Amino acid sequence: MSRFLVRQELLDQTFRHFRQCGGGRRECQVLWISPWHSPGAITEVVHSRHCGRPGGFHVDDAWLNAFWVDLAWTGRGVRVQAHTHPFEAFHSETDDAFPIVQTTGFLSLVIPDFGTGAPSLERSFLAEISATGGWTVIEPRSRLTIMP
Amino acid sequence: MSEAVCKDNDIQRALADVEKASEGVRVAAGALQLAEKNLERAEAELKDARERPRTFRVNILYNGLKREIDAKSDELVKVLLACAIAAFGSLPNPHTLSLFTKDGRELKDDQTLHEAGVKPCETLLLRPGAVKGGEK
Repeated sequence: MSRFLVRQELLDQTFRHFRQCGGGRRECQVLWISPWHSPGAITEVVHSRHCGRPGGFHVDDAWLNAFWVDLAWTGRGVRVQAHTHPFEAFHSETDDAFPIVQTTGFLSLVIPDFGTGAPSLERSFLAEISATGGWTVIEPRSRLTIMP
Repeated sequence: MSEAVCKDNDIQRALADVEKASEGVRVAAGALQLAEKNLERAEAELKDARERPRTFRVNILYNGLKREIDAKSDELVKVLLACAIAAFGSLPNPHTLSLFTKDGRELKDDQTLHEAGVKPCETLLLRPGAVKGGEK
């Protein structure tokens, strides 16, 4: 079971990306990153290059390729993917089928209302990839500790 | 010493020289035979090396981690893909993952590594073919 420490500053940054990129009209995605030598503490928010629309987003393939190389070069890994939904937060079939990482225990956080609310985990939805490849719903605060 | 005795000594020396030369020829013939055998063996080894599939190492990157994997030029990309997935532990939904070159070209499953242009010590990316999400 993976637990991650996330500074409030990074949660604020996450919501800023959601608002600036999505503009309250389009979905947006960011990735929470940490180094492999200390994976439990999220150190960085990466705003993926993607095409967003009101009902979804698609990460740019060339960006993903370069990002994959950069992760290895810098010794970092993606721990949590976070994206917005227009209204309620949940995991759709698309969310289930196309995550960026396929490792057991990988977390996917969904934020409601295009991320236009206050930067918090209120009404958020967290899912984790199980060993069998399915997604398990998790109480967000049981895995994500937000630190001042 | 009489003239006859001198001639006899010359003949003896000449016979000894002939014997020595003959021995030299026999040694040279043996060396030649050995060299021919070695040449035959070397040619057979060269042919075998040319025909045998080449084994080499490739680097695989997945979510910031690197693994080295042994590969053969005549094996299919899907075999290397299975090895790569296994190298990173049990990855659920392996069908969503593919191998890509560093410049973003996806390797086709049914090609050999030779056909796919994979070179020794090349770095390949194990990653999803598509990343997307959304309410709809």
